[in-house]
Amino acid sequence: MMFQRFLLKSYYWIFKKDIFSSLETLKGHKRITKDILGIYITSNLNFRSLIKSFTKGIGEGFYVFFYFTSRQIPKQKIKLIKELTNIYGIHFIIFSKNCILRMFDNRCFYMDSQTSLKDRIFSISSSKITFLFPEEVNNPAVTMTLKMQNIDIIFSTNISSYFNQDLSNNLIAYVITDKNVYVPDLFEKNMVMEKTKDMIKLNLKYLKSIKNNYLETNYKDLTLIKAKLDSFQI
Amino acid sequence: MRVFIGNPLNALEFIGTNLILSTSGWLLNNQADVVGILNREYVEIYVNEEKTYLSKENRFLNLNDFLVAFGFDKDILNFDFYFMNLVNNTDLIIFSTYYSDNVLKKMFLLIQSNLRKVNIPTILINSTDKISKIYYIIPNYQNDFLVKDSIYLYSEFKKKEHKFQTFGRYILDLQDTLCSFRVTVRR
Repeated sequence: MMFQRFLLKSYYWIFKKDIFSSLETLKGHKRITKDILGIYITSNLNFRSLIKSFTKGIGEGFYVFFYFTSRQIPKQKIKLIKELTNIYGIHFIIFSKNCILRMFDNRCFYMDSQTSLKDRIFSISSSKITFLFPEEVNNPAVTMTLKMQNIDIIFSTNISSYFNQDLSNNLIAYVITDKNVYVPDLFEKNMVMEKTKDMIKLNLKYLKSIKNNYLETNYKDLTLIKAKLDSFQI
Repeated sequence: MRVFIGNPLNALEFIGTNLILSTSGWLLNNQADVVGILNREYVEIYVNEEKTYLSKENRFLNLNDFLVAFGFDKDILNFDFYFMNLVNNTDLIIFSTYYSDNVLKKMFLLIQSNLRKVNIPTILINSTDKISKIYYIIPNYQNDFLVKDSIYLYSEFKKKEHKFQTFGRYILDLQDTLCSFRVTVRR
């Protein structure tokens, strides 16, 4: 415990200057419009480059940051990154080996395939976001649960482009993986999404209007599903 | 189960049809066990000159242990509909839609995506400008559909093998969410 405190303090001592100068540049930064959700992809977990990408991202109106690695991240490092994201007040999503981490508001949410679907959701400006692990993407029951939860954006760790595209069509939602963004076939891809190497901009306006106008909940269908599922378990 | 879809005049060529469906306003009664007229929001069903309606509230037609479900315009986008058919072991889905041609192309991609999850044979009857076209859709990854531009479709469908699907532990998550769908907030 003592060691950890000391570690944090020493890191703070080293990076104090960078943090303060970056916060100085962020004074009065512009905000992005309501319909567009931006996701900034950081390429490195190195402290100095994180500060740099946070500064650059927030300056352009991003408040969701994303990092992908296939390796495991040591606990010490997670704690340090958590402290850093707190300073900036952003959402930081990390895909690591067999688990997903989400940092926001003094907390670090740890998710693996045992976490129930209910506990994975979070929302940013009225769009709901959730996470899926490889084996869940093609499961009809999972898709149905997400449909009931009215999800707009899914972070998926599955690598199959067929499954991800199908999921995107089923739910009329955007599916984001580490390499690609899947848009429902209903939309023109370059109309609603803009992707460069380190940033993704999603337009949620069309998605919401399609969902509000064309998706209707038929209570009769839901009652039938519920009755059938209840009969499965005796 | 032998199904005929199209202009009822052509139905006379076939013997032993179980279900005749058409979009035109007149029908030959007693040519099949069940005769139906497709409409935008409902299907008129005649069984031995007795008339009933199938609609969104009441979609299923059970014919000799063969379960047919009817879907309409907005059901295509709705995964609820497909999942309901999956758990109810539906053997055939029939869509009656009124889309324009370029919207329909996109709709095919959506239907295929949904069908790959549930694997049920599907027929779509799209009516625009008084011309009905019949499409038989196969769920595969080649993005092609068996498109019938002819005036009628006659085919024999076999009942699917009853497969019991467990969905793993995610069924508990689903039951949890389904519990709350009718809860209304009052202030």
